[in-house]
Amino acid sequence: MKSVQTATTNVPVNPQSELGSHSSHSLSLSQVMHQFGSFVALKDINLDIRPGEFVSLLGPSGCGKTTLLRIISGFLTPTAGQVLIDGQSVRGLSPSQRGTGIVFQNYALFPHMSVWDNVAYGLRAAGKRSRNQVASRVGEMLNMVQMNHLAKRFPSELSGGQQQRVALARALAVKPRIMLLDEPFSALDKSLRLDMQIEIRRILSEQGITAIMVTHDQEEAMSMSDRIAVLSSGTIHQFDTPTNLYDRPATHFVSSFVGTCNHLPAEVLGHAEQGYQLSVPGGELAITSPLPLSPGKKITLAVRPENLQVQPQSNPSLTGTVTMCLPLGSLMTYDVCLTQDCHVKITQTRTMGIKPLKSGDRVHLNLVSPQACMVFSD
Amino acid sequence: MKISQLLQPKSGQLALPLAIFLQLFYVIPLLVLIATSFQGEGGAGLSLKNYTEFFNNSVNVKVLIDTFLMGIQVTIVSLIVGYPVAYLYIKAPGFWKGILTFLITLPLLTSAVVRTFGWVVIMGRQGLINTALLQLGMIEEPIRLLFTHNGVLIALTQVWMPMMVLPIVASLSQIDPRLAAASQSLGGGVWRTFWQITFPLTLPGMISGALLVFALTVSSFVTPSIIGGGQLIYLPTLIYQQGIILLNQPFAAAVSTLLLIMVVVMVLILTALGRRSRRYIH
Repeated sequence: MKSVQTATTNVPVNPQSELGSHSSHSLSLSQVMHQFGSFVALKDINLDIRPGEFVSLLGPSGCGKTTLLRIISGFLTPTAGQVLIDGQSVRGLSPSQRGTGIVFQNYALFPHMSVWDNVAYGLRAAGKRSRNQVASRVGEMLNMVQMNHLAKRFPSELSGGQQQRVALARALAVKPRIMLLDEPFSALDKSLRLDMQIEIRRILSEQGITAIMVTHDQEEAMSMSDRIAVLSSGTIHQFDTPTNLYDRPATHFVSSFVGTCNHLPAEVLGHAEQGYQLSVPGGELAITSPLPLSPGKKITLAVRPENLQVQPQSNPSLTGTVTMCLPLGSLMTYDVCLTQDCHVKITQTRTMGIKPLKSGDRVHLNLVSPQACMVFSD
Repeated sequence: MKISQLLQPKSGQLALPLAIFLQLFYVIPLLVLIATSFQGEGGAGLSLKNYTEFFNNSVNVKVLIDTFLMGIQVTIVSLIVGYPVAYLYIKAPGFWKGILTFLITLPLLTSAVVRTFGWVVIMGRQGLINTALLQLGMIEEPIRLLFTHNGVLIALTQVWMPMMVLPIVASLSQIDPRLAAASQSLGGGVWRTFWQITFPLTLPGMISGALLVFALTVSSFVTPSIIGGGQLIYLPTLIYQQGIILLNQPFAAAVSTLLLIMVVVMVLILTALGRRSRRYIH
């Protein structure tokens, strides 16, 4: 993360002069730290977001993701560290001077203004535009979000999805360099959410705008983002593509927060053909690990439910009893008891005609492949 | 009908005791008052005699205009002074909020007579204001405040200010702070954010405040009597003189009805304004 340019100048890049250009902008955070009193909300945050990228800040509530968003937007000055847009520090600049547009969680539309006036607000505030210029830009924005026919409505007369479109149009009207989205879908119905996710993603990539979204919903983050930064207790655990986060979680926290994962206490027995032999509750497993492991070492083995499969008895494998069957549409999830205090979840694709397991069945489990697991040292 | 059905009233019926109470002690006396105002000579027949008598006397008309002017002036002054107070209250940290609540409601917590005599002491010829201004050399001779329209205006503004401040505070506290943040992020400065966002959204508060202050001011009796010292007459004083001292009940009833009409007209105008502004506030 040393690629951050340390900008020495504090000259604001006037966002007005950027208007009309469709170039994308990069954002970097360099050693950002923030304290509320003695509580450290964020520590040593380094992020490099490429121009045009869609990045999610994902984490449980209280992990500091909203604080980070406020720091990027300019509503909060970090205790230490730098926010750089296109390599230049934006310290001391207001949100509009930075060129950061925000879509708030509840959209924060001005209730006493029509849709049209809401979208025109930023353009009028900036001045410098003739009435016609404002009108054409507002029209363009409303067209983009397909809200032209509702321009005279007031926010209270709109549905959640329509309000969100207006909020997006309002933020985009002033051509921000970076778009910030604060839990944008949390107020929407589940059925509408996916449509809006696709639409917002489409609009933002058409405009080539670098966007950062704060969310605690991993599915949302996974489906929309180019890259995701997983935060917990004020630090970034991993900043990677959605598939890498899922397949190669960097920490125990990431493996449990992103997707479902079984965590098994294990002990290294010794080397096997290509990897290591582990002793796990309920039996033994052969794995490969990028980490060197010495015999006798206690580790945590993390296995995704879909990476465990039922097999005829073989060595090595885990033996357990099915205690619960959960049919979830196309998938079947089983809870298998290995030992009294160690259960694992496994999922199988449900196939018509094949009899599912039932509670009480004795099964043998093995990894789908020796590398289909993660090892975290305790 | 079974007794148990009677004991399980529909929701509307629960308001019945209050409705009966209000009918008996509020609506009926009011109707009696209005009926009295149309009483003819010797208490017989219907006539507009009391009203024509009122409007034929220029002194009475002046009292009516003065009262209306006073109501408007007090409302405007308390709006101008009260809005910043309400704004300050909203922005104040927790500890100061308690102190401000006390200070704002203080005029309502003191006895009208005590409070008004306080103003007599402050506004008198040798009062606090004149002494201070004289000693500072800002005036040559004492200014007349007591027994003047402006003196009454000052005292009434102080008394009814809380009625303006409190609804505005309620209105301000309902505004989502994210609206100001959104305005700021769109490039709206402090003044634009205030005039375009905060101020329009507090219109309902200002309207209810104005309603209360106007109605209370035009019907104030104690403060105008003491500060006005009997030289300045407003409608409530006129009603008192006619009804209690001169025992001209029908005439007093007519003046009362005029006062009532003045308030009702104001209520109608302001609620019409309020309805327009409330359209967008859920």
